[in-house]
Amino acid sequence: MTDFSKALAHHHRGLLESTTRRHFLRDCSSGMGALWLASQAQGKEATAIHHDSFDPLSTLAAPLKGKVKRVIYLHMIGAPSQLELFDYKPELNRFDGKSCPQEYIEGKRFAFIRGVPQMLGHQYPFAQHGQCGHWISDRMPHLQRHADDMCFIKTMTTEQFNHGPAQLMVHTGNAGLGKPSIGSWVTWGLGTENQSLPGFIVLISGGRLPRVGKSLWGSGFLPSVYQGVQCRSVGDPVLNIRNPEGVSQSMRRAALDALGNLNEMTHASVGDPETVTRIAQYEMAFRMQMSAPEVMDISSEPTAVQEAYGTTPGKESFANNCLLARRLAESGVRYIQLFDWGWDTHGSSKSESLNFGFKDKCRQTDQPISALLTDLKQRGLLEDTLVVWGGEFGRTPMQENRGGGSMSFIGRDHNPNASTLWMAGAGIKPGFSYGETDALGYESAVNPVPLRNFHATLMHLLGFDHEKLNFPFQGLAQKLTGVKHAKVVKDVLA
Amino acid sequence: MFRYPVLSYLFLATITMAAPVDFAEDVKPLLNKHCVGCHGGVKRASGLSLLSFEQATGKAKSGLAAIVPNQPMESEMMLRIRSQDEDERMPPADHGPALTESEQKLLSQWIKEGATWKKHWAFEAPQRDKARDAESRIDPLVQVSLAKEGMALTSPASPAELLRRVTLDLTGLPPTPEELAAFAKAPTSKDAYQTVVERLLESKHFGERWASLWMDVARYADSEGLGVDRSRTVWKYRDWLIDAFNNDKPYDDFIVEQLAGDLLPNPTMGQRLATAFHRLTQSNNEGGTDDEEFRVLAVMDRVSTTWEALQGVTFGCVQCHSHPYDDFQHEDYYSFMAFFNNTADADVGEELPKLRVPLDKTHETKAAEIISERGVLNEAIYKASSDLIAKTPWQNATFSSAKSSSGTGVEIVDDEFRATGNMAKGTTFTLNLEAPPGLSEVSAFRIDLLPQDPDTAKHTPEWGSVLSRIKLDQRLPGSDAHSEITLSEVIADEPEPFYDPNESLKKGSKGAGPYSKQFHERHCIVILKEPLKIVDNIALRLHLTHDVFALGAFPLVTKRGKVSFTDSSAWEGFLDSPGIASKRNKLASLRKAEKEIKAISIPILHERPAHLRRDTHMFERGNWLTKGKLVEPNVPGSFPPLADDGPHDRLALAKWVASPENPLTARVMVNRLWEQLFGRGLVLTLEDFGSAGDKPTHPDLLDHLAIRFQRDHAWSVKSLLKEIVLSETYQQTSRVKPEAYSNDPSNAKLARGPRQRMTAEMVRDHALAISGLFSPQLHGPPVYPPLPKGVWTPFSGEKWKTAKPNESERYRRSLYVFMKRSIPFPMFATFDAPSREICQQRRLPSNTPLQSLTLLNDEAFDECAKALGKRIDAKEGDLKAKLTHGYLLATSHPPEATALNELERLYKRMRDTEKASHDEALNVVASVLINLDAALTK
Repeated sequence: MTDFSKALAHHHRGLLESTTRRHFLRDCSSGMGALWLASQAQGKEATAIHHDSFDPLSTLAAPLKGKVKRVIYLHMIGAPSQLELFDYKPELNRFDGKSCPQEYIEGKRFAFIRGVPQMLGHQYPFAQHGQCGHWISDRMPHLQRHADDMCFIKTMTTEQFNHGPAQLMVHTGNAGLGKPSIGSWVTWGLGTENQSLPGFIVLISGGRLPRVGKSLWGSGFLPSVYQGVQCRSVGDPVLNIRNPEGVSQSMRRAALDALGNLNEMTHASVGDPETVTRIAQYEMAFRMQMSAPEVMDISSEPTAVQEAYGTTPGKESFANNCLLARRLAESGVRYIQLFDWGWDTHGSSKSESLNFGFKDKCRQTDQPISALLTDLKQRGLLEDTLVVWGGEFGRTPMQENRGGGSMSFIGRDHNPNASTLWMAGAGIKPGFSYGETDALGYESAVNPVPLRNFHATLMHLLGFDHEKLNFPFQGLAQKLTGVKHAKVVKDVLA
Repeated sequence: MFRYPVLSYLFLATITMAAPVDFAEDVKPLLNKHCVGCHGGVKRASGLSLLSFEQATGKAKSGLAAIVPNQPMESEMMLRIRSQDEDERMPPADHGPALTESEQKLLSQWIKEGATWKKHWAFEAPQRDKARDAESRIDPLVQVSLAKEGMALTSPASPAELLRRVTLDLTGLPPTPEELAAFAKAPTSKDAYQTVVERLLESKHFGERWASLWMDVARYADSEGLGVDRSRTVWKYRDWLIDAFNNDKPYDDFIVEQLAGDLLPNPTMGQRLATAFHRLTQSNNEGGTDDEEFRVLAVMDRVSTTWEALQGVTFGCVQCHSHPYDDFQHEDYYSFMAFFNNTADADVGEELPKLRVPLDKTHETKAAEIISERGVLNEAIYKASSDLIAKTPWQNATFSSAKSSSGTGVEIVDDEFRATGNMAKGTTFTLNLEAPPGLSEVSAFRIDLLPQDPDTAKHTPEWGSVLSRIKLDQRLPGSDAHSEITLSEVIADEPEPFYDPNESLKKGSKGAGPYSKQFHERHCIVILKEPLKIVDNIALRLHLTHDVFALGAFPLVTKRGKVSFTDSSAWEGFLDSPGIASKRNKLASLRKAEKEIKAISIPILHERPAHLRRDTHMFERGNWLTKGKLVEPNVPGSFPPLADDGPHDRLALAKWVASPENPLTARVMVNRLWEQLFGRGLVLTLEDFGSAGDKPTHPDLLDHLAIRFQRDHAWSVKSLLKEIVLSETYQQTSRVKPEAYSNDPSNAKLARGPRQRMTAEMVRDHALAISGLFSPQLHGPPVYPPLPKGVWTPFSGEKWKTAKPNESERYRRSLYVFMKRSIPFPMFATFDAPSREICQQRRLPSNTPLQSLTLLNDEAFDECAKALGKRIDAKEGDLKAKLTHGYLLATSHPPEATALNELERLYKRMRDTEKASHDEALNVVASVLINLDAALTK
């Protein structure tokens, strides 16, 4: 902090005291009636979230003891095939090339499969790894070494089998647009540890944005300050973080000094405390300009680290984003969301096939994820950071036969009935696997976990009762877990 | 079994209360708080709901009544509330705390007084006070409520403060220095201010500012939303909104035209175009998505948006269960949905049906006439052909064999051909037909396309089929070769199908048949150019090609079909018969005339013909695939009924919403306009006027304005706005002492003037205006101002065509900026604009560092700063004069001496310490001006 900003901060505290520290109604949304509603609709007291409007991202303590302080969520956009990675089904190989038994297709809706498809055996060999003996395919040679750190849920289920709605289900608990994302709920509930960086950061790789775009990190009805901020590994790390050409940092400092003084004059004459908040936001913006480019610059990392992750500084890559994720976690960012595009392996083209594109995707992600886990562990961050890996649904044990014909490449259709998600880090049982799919890996046979239960578990790990972290909107105490009953998957907790 | 807590009960029952207990004020909140979570619209635990008098006084599962009017001691509810037994007490301990003594007393007293159930205030129509409502009573009503708290209105705003506020409020743009000077000079009189207000109401920018508001409500976007989020051309609707506000279209017409303009008699182009309102729903063209699923989602969004936007009621929850707090039954949702369930749009990729809207407004009348005339002609031809179809003796063809060109199989079952196995794209069925016995010639044949399960299809349709090509050929006895028979016309079974059925006779994938989903048994007639002689041993082959591959996943192949022949000579001459030929000629000339009018096609609402009506069923647990009871269109029983003349269609519904009897319509709009001016609605929860929403801060004022709006102002938005901005309440200064502020931070009591940060659109428009870059042009296609690098990565690959510096398109008002739902314009999103996926009633203003970064560093704002610097420099006089002018432009106020000093110091520091040029220094100063708190607020 410069002397000037110290002085300014001191001065602002004075101003604030004179204008009464207030909890804006709008910070808790729509007024007392709504608050009452939030607390009563579920027959449970709502967790009170009070941020000062001066500092809406200030750290709040979780109401329960949460072991997780921050989350790194790795979403493989397009839905990776669990049957080529983590869900080993010897029976499926026996059925390879045979017609799908009728019981598997009766009454089911598919996105692309028509009529009677054939079963498709595992495309890659599996082996057991670690003390725990997790089955992992040969596509993830680096990750295999972390078997004993990972906690699998093999039976994730969702209600959606098209990408857009299913991605929204994962990140907002709802298939429609307009609900807050997990990261927004979490930063609203906990604030963030570093006031010079956004609390919820999104990193993209794979060359494309997920199809529903920004809604996956939107704040929905929560105040917009809690929405995710997309940062970039190429070009400006945060939009508009750089001064316009010709404006040096000292010019900017002088301009902000003048701006602060003029705004104080306005405040003195008009008396609107929002003006004081605005002064504070300009100062925070200035701090962000100083620190964000530094944090986002991975080139300063030692060569050994760069090599461990397999980064390519100056380019957009999943490996770069993994290293960035570690730097952001270290800097106290609350929720770090990575999206990697290109996992939709229908077999409709070379890049979208299990025999080609999938291999590339595995190669691009295996080493960086493994490096991330190692790095977090070495720095002690894995003790209070949770890493989550998953897609938006699973893939079918049947081979896709789009349009009723045969396809040039090998692929699988969307399967909302079973997918694999894994976690590593704080609060979970390492080297553990929960839930079992049926013999062919199609349905979640034992201990299915609907997304809402995963959400409840995640909230629990962060120190919230998912029922109580709610926000009044449209006459309902809105929750990440939605209106259906959700429960914490206790078995996966450490 | 329960125990009677006799002692305490008797003790309490003897307490008498002075005034009768008010249900809405005192009782309903208690029920909502403690009871309806389990005994409401959702759960009805033990068969009990406390949402209406009938339900609460009826017998629950136990056989007991929760409430026995006048008999608190007999009322099970009171006994359970008062029970000392933990197992008996309501609410149960793990659901919530027991009711307090005073809450118990209240309920008991209310039951004793008869348990009268009053409707929630918002569901009763506002009552006119004849004597007093004839003139504006805003100030007296505000003053009365202030006086109750020992408060009063504060002093009036200065001319500069007032002119800035009213100009930004009414036009979304700041006042010019000239306007400020003129107003400052004018004698402080009501007349001078009124003249200003009238000028602003007549400004062409008025419509732009208020259209911006409605675009949030109408979820306006230039893209489709879910899935691929392709671009959608619909900007003519935005221009319609601008004109509607500029022309002060009465609000009742504004509603009727948007909900059902297409059903008005002889609709104008504008009335048809207005229905794009409900085509702004999201559509999904992601591969493998079900068109019906997303059609249904769109229809449900129309239901929710109609309720939220026009009635201020959240209705979405009633989709799965009765309303948790208000008296809306589960079935009400679906009855209401039935009004919207019969529009022709069906989530097909082409976004059909569309309206050709002329680019030049002067052609609108002509174009509208063409559409109406064409509708009449098509209807008449359809009528004649369907009469003839009904009269024609059709003789079923017998198939001798059938084969398929693809992996899809085809089999003959009795007189039907059926597809088997997997549907494959590009499937052609070749059907070998036996000569129809008894016919010596064939003039036409008929193809029936049947659902696999006709009963289910009526409400949950199957994928349809498109006959991309229909070919008939014959092989005469003794010949080896097949020769093709010329077919002249395909006639559809509806007046205006999406695809021209004659496409079946040409190359290309389009053609006759149900596209894309099939609800009903469908057919088409194919007329032969010349009657075909049926000789002995003639071999006939019919080829049906299916090339439509919907969403890259669904080959639209006929699943079940029949073919039949006729020799009726009526078909030979049908096209040339006098009644038909003249109509067809007329249609051809209309097509030609239409083509001459340059136009763009906009998705609109259009009703399906009666015989293709979709049945509306309730969904079990909100799941569209599980249908329950069949319902008919109607409005909720707790509301005034529909007008009883005429059909229960979308138009009837629209008129019902726009009727003076509707208790919500006027209140909701009045509240919306009030919120725009004061930053806070009289009902805070714009989106919820129900019992879970906030109570009005000034109920009398809300109702007074609602009545004035409906009656005295005849639904004129301009008159209503004029009344409000002319009030003393509005004209107060927003300057406030800290104590007064902390007393009422959101200014709910109205003891000071409003002061808010401007909306996202205004912030940008303001910067453009003060820098002199602003382009005042109205209307037209979306514009593409500069976008930060790396933002534009659309899934669907379209380009962002940034307008170059100095091109006026770069500086157009914000409401014209291309609005893509998956990639909202970053500056707007940062300043709390919604991405318009769903109806949004209000924006929660935030104040964040990302806003600061945008205003300081964004290319567009940097450009504004540079232009403002130049504009300041162009001001005659010394540096002080230039800086004074800049400050005035940015804030509408001349700077105090201290402020001017600060600016001067900054300029000098830039020159002296930073060695900046004069231009650079002014640029930095201008950037500060754009970022001033006083420049960002109104």
